[in-house]
Amino acid sequence: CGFHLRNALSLPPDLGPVQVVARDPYSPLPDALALTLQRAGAEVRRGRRAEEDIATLNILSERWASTPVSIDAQGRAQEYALRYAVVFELLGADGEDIVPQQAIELSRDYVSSPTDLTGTDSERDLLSREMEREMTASIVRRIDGASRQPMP
Amino acid sequence: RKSDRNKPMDIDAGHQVGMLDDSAPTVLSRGVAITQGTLDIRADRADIHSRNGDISRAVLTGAPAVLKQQMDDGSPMTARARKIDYDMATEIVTLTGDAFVDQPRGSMKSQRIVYNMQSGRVESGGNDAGRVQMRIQPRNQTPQDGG
Amino acid sequence: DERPEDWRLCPLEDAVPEFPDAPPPVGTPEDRENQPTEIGGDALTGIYGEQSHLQGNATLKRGDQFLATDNLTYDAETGRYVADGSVRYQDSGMRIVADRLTGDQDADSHSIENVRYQLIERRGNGGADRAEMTGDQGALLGSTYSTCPPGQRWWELHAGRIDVDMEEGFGTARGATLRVGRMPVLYMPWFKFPIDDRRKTGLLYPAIGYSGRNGFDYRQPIYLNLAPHYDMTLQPRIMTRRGILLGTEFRYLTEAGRGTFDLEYLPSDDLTEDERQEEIDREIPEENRRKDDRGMFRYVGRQNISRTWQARANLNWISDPRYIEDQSSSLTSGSSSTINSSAGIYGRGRYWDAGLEARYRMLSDYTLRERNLPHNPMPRLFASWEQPFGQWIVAGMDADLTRFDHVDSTRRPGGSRVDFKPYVSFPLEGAAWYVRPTLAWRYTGYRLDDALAENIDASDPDTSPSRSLPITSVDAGLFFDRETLFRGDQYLHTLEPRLFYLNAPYRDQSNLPLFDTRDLTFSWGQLFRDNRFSGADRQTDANQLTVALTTRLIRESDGLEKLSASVGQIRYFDDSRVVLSSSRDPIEAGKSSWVAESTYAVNDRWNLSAAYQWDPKVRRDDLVSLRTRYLIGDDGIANFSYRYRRAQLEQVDFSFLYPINPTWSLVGRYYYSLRDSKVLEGIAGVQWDSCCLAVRLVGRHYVRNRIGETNNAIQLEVELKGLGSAGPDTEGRLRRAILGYYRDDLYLVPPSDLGNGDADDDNPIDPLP
Repeated sequence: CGFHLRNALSLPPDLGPVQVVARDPYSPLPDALALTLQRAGAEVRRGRRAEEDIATLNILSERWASTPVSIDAQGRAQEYALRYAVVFELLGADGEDIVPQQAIELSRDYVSSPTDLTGTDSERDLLSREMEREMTASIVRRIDGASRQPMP
Repeated sequence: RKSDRNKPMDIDAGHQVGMLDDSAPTVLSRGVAITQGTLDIRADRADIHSRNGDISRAVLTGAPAVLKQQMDDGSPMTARARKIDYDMATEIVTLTGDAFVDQPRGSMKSQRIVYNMQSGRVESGGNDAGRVQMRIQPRNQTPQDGG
Repeated sequence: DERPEDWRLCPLEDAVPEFPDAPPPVGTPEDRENQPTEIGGDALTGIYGEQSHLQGNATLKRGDQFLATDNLTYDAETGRYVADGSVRYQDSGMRIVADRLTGDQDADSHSIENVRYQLIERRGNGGADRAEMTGDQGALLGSTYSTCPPGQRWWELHAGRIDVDMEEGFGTARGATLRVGRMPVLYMPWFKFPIDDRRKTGLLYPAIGYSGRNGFDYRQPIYLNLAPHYDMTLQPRIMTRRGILLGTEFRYLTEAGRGTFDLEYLPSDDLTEDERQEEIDREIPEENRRKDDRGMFRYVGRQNISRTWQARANLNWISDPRYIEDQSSSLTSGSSSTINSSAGIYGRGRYWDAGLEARYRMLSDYTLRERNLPHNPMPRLFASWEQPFGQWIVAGMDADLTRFDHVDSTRRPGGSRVDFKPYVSFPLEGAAWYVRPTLAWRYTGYRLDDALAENIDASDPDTSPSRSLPITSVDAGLFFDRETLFRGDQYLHTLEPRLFYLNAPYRDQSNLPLFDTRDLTFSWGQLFRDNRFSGADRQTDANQLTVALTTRLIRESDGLEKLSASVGQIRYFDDSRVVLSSSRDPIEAGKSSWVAESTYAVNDRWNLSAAYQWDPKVRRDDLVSLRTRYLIGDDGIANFSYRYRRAQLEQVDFSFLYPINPTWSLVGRYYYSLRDSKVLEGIAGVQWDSCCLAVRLVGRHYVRNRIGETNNAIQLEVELKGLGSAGPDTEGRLRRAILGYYRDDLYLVPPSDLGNGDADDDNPIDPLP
């Protein structure tokens, strides 16, 4: 039915060396993305200062929010959704957009029993670490998806 | 400047018709330069009228004719127009045709400017002479040269 | 946060239309005096360089100022000028049409009679008997102000005097009466309002409202710009049924940190007195009752210590558990049972991250007791490290050292715990496949207070129990894909099978306490975790294999994931005998529930997402969740969701904002719990919108408090666009009740933020419940 094993994760052909820069210096994403891109065959630069004319994966903004999803009959929240959104862009060495600025938003639901909150913090911490890994994968997938077709 | 009056006047022209006498105006053409003290006139053609041996009026035409002079307070004045009619007796200068008067304090542009060098009175524009434009420099700025 | 004003319904033409012959105003009032003055006119008489009189459409231009009039006399010596006859004046802040204008260019002060004015930056316009302008300050005497166009004068502010401060962006009206239609509605001796979009944080003009609980509710924020890097907003608030509340917010921004202090103080709240008896009747415990003097404190801040270390704090305090509920105006804002505080220093490097923090929870639900609260980690030291060695080996360790204390330490004694989990994994990967075996060892040891050891096992109390076991897991997957055409677009269709094997021996953990551990919510993520429990107090035994499959349709033109669907199940080869407490039964060998999740973007207006879990053992659904959202036109939206969780909840939530036409739109929400057969929130409302006035009439039926009593409220809100809203902040409430009422709320990072690229990412993490 036409399915075949995927060939290599296709990064933009003339990408050249790439650096991952985040506006928030304490963000976990740059290191995780650098590792994943390196595994996918990219040459990742890790200087302290952002270098000028090389390709740059820009993490422009990261936001977390935990919002109640369902309320019980006493007006108490019983389910929450942990949401994580990242805005990023991939610029070529010449500053042109390879992957235009866009946002990815992930959401995971977790139950929180109003009368006994033991363990909600640890479940939410676990979810946030898993969502950081999943965000790294979806950013790289979005780069792969956007760079498959010939440059417009 | 008042003191220009009793300074020697040199006139230099490409071609001259007439002997500066009162009977008929002397016509200078093909590039005229008249200087007297701080007064400096350049024009293509100049019709000089004189009365009892003194120059009483000069009608200068050029593209444009230019008249430069230092005012009594030492500040330079430049006037340009296609025709400059300088009546020495009344010190009234009438500029017509793309007239432009420039002084450090400001400049003025119009199709017709009548300027009394003595009193400083000025009239310009009006009755089909098109609009008048004036530009006044801010007080604290160093004077720029004319526009 | 603030929603920008929506002027789309306004006529294009301003009240004082633009002057065709005027150059666009460029430059600021400050640099006017070093600009040349250009004067023009049909005819000029005067003394050169001193007095000049211009007759016939005279104009004067200087920097951003433009003046056109019939006759203009200008004295270059003194800079004074007089313009009379159809005067038109414009500068970077204002456009004015008047009869007569006298001014002094050098002093940059002007006085104008019988004025009609238009603020350039905002829609503010009106008239004045006289206007005095000096630099960028203006005073309009006997004036009117409104953002309405002349033809639809829905509201107007009449004031003896309005001072307009272009530099700060504020107008201050004195002796002001507010007229809605013809009817004078409100007299305000002193009233400050923003005249441009540089709104400072927070509402700055009064919020006036009425509600059964608070009575007449008037808030007047006062903004104090103390210094470039710190400012403050005082917010006195009068609630006739309760008393006077002073709110203060202090913000500071230094080059290495930032922070916000919020303080609310409500001395002798009448509500406490009025409902004292009811609290006694319902035997609400003493410490959960409303206090006389009440209030709230909040600090959110961060401070960069070095390139790798940062301090963050999020502290919250309330005077009594009912404070949040009494102040809440929406279903969700009062819904969490605790308010949380956390503070710590956190660090991150290339292969590690670590932190030293403390967390504390305060009760904000008066029907619970403090013993329902969990233990607080005070302090907790955590670190995790993971480093690749070459291509095929990754080694790492997670470590956690925590002292747990409880607010009610007599009933719930604490203890400390150390948890180490070193691991090594061998990521064997190719382009289209991966196999990641991981070998981990987990050691967890305790120092329990004697009382806790007693509670756990009185016969043989053990104050330092421990548990140690190996955990092995193998994560393997393949990637298949193909190009395909789907409804006219070119897609990459992927098929991603995945296996996850987990093995861990059984350890008796009945003598271990429960500090921060409970069952993890069974979900897609749970299929690939090495523990069924959230904290370190329980580590599951396992001999199980997860079989899962994910498929995606990725549009090749922009990488958009049009459809993603996943299905998976765990096969337990042996029983999983570790349980939270003896009252729970272990997981028998066999199959887990099926887990299926899918999201589908039908088009850019309509998306669906569904999650489904079905338990083959009891042949019943565990979870059914369906969410769909449809965007109607530019502003309209319809959301529908159905949620069922076995033995816990079954709810339906339908909400919509339907724009009948640009002026009239209907809003509604129906949030019904099938299990309790009760409406949790019902909203029906109609909104009339115009260029400068919006009126919202909203009826609400919602759960008001913890004993499930509901409340009906009819609220009328009149929003004077650009001046403020009178009446309860229904708009804010609607934005929370109907997701998408304001389109940008749909996204955690609104598209409008995407545009300017400086998305504000450094707002601290919300105080997560």
